[in-house]
Amino acid sequence: MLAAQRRGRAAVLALAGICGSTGCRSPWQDLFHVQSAGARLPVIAYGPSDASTVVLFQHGGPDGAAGIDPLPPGLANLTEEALVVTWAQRSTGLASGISRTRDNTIAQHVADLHAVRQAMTSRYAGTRRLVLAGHSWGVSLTLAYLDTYGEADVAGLVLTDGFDAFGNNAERSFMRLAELASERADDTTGEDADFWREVEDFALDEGTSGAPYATETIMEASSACARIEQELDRPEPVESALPALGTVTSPLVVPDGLLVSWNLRTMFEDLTAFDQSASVEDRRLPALLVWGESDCRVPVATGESILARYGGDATMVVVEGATHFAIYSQPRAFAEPTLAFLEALP
Amino acid sequence: MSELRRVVRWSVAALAVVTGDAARASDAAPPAAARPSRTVFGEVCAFVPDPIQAPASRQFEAGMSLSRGKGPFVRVRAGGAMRSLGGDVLGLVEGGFGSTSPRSFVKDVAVGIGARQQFTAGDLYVVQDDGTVRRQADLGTTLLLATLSGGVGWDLRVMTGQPLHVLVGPRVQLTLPQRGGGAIELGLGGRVGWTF
Repeated sequence: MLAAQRRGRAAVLALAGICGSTGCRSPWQDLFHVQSAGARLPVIAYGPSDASTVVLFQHGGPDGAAGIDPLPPGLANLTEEALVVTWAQRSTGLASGISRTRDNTIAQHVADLHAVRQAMTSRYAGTRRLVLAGHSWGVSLTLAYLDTYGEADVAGLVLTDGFDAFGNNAERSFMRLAELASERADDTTGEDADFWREVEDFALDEGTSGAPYATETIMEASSACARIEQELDRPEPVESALPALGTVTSPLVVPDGLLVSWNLRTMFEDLTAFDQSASVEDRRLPALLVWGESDCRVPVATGESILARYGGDATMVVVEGATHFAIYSQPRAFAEPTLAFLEALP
Repeated sequence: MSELRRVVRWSVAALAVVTGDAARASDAAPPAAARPSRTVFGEVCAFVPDPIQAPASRQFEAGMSLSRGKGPFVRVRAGGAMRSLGGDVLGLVEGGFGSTSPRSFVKDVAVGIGARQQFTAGDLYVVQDDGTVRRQADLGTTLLLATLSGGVGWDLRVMTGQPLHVLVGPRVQLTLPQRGGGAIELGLGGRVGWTF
């Protein structure tokens, strides 16, 4: 039945002319939607439907992500062993329906995740180990979810490059950016060296000022981090046979940015005040933390801080040379410890 | 000198054809395309993938336009869109301005407004009032659609006597509301029409 559904979907895609680089084969195993507070959230499951472990993944953001492969390559490498379920959050281009701007809150995202979990449980009946995984903002969402709904029937956590409190992370982020900028200034000459010295000074000033961070300041730091990521992120070939939707660029970048800023203004206010640092101590689930060594958005120091306060058994793996996007750029380095972690779960 | 005059005359004529303003450069009779006409057409529009708004999609439409061959026109369209995660049924009314040169060059620009009924792929699970989730039939979501489109092409009546025209042109499409804001799509359409 599932094979017939896949063939039908592939035929529809072929008719529509929406074909991946590997041809007109449907890039997912199973697709359904969850309607929550007006938004329709696509849920895509990859891997064997009878797998004993289900990994439910919360992507980063909280914006965009339509052009980003809904299945990060790091998770694609898990699909031999586990059913990996990804979903698009309400503010992304993959979501549809009518959602209100005022519903773009952390609380609503938590409710959305619970709805996705309920639908998934209903669809894939049977006793399975559920592992919650999150990247970047997806880590914050996962922690907020556990704080609201508890840990019942969850077997473990995989957290990568995310924060438990915005305020603590911002300071560490500026200090790590200053370190990385300093290294680059030492290794380069001329205009490049001047640029990195300026970034270093800016990051040190902001990191030590103690003042609240303005949006423009965060955006400037983000821009410098993006330049480091462009240098370091050299994606490995993905071993999974599953084709990616691919990342694309669009001439609509400017209006997109305006729309996203408008759409997420409530969300950014929520995020600035986000603080789950106390509840991390209450977590009892086995956890794996995977961090990019050169992440200057959510640096290793934030991961180490979560690890030190975490209430249950937790281990941390630092991926050398990786940035904030280790799950995308170094899939093997992400997947190996994650597979070992999944196998060791009771 | 006469050679130069001939070159200039041909250059002006060629330029007039390209700009669709050949009528002013010649004493030709009013073209067939300038008569009042009704046109039925089919159009395919491919929208570019966008990292934030949406993946690629294709839109298929059929419609009819009423025009005087030159000047304002009214167009109605109905069709569907196919997206990687669903599909839509849509209807549009457009008003615009177009012209056809005696050498058959056609150009038009139009703004439109309409509605789209958006459906999602796969089963739909809906959160109920009590917080539980239940599978339901997908009746779609009604959304507002606004478009701005242009086209250039040829009216084959002048060239071959066939009552056909072909056009290609860009389209910008805004869907409201989407994800708390709006979704902008940019596409390229190709249209084939039959005039009677």
